[in-house]
Amino acid sequence: MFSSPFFWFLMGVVFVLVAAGARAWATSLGLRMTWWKWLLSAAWYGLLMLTVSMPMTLVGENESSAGMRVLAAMGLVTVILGVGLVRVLVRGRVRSA
Amino acid sequence: MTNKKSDLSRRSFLKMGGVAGVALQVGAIAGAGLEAGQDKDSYTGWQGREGETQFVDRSGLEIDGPAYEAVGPTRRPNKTTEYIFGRAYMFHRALRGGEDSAGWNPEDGPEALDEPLRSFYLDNPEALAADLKREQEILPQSQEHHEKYDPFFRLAEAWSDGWSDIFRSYPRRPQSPPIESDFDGVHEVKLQPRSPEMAAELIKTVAHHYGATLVGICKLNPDWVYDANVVGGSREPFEVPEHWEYAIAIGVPHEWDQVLSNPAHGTSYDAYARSAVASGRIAAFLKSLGYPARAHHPPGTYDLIVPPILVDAGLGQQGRAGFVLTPETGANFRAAVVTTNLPMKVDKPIDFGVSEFCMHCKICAEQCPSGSISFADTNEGMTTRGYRHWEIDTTTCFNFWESAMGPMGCRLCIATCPYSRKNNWVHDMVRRASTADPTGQVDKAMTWMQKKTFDVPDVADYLPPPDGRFASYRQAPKWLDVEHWFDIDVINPQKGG
Repeated sequence: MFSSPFFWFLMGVVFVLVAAGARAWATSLGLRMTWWKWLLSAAWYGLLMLTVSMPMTLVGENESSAGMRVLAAMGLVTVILGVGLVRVLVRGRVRSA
Repeated sequence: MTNKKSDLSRRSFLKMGGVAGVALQVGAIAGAGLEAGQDKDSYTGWQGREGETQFVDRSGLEIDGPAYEAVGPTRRPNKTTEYIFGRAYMFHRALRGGEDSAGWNPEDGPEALDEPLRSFYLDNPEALAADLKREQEILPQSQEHHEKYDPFFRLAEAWSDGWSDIFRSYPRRPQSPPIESDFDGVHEVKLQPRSPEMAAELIKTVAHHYGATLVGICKLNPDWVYDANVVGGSREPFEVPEHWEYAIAIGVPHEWDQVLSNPAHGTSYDAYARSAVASGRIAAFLKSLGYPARAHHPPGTYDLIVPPILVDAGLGQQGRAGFVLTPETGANFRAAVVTTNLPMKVDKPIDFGVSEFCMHCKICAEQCPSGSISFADTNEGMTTRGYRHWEIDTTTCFNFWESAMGPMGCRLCIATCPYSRKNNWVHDMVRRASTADPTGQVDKAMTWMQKKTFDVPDVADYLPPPDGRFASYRQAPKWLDVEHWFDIDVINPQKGG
């Protein structure tokens, strides 16, 4: 199911919704988004996906404990970088939007 | 006013849709990851026979060679003393004696043994001590363990027996020297290939169809051919036949789940059987094209040592544990070789960083229950027959085989090697990053990660009771779990029974 081309087509469709939603949130929160802020956000989103998929692949090949340890380590890194990203994004925010 | 409301509701929709989309994607990517880990297409060598199993492009990894560093006078190996199975068999016979002769008495010392054992043991007293320990302590103890625990390991043994059964009839063991048997059945019309390149391409295509996961071709270095006791011939020394000009090296991996359940539930015979059958078919194919050929294959029909031929043929590099690691299967494969004189384009040796990797990894040495694998930082000073390369203590290694339960052998070094991984996206990503990184930092990071995140049994747990519990590196896959399928009256020794 997940390895079929149709699945990845649907993932692309959903990603368009995610991207449009991100833009709506940015406008709503008054964020002054620039190209490099979008790039950082996209990179963090990619990291989030990696943080979820890599441990699950290890779980799939019967290395559950390794998967959970990797999830904990990468999850911590992702959260820390996420907090840092939020601080960068809100800098210079327009509060009246 | 209406437009503003519409704007707000559209934005709210997108905001909610975005949040839902993220949740959907996180869930979907988790499912995709799980499926990738379970994907049978990641079982390299067990998913197809169209040649896609040799998926690493070697063109960027090739070196001009030579693949081995000669550091002194070189010579051919001896099948009796340097081949552990040959020596173990001869020593067992010497110790037990025959119907008309008494066996060797250890109190008489090695001087009382016949050649070549006498000279070998005088030069290697530690090997004599280890061989005696096997005969006097390990084998009797192992017999007791088999009587007590056999049903628990019977399913794994049955799986192994299903593979090894083919050796009763195929490939047919040569019954005469190479000058006769290699020409036996050769077609009278010899087809001339359009070019050596095309001949190599044809052989590789056919080899994959016959079941070879990996194929490489090289000129045969005579130093890799045993000096005596040719299969089908006498025990006397023999010259390397002229028609053994080329070596076609093939490899087939073990089934990927059971190899992780070594030593207790793994077997050598799945990959042995598949590589041996493929080599027999390749030899028959060559003969039908008009060329003499001989298959050298497991479990014991060899006139040559295989690992250096795999290196010469560009299939991989030798690692710390003595065997060859390939980019596709790591250490998880078993090899066979076909010698012939069909003119073919040869492959070049490759370097994908194994030498440097093995210097710092040492996982195989840490997990080796017999302590047979060196912990040295480099293979400096390790010389065999004039060539520098990683050495292991084959005697202590074999002694552990004899003490283990399940299908004979250990194979833990194969199972624990970080290169021995299925071909899913995680390991593929690591493999590519590792190969592309000339600094070796990716290797070090990945080794560190494996040591910190992957569970491993205590190395003593692999030993027989009372010191250990016949542990496996990983639990047997469900289809090899005897308690799942059968009612048995043996308490699981792996759980302390």
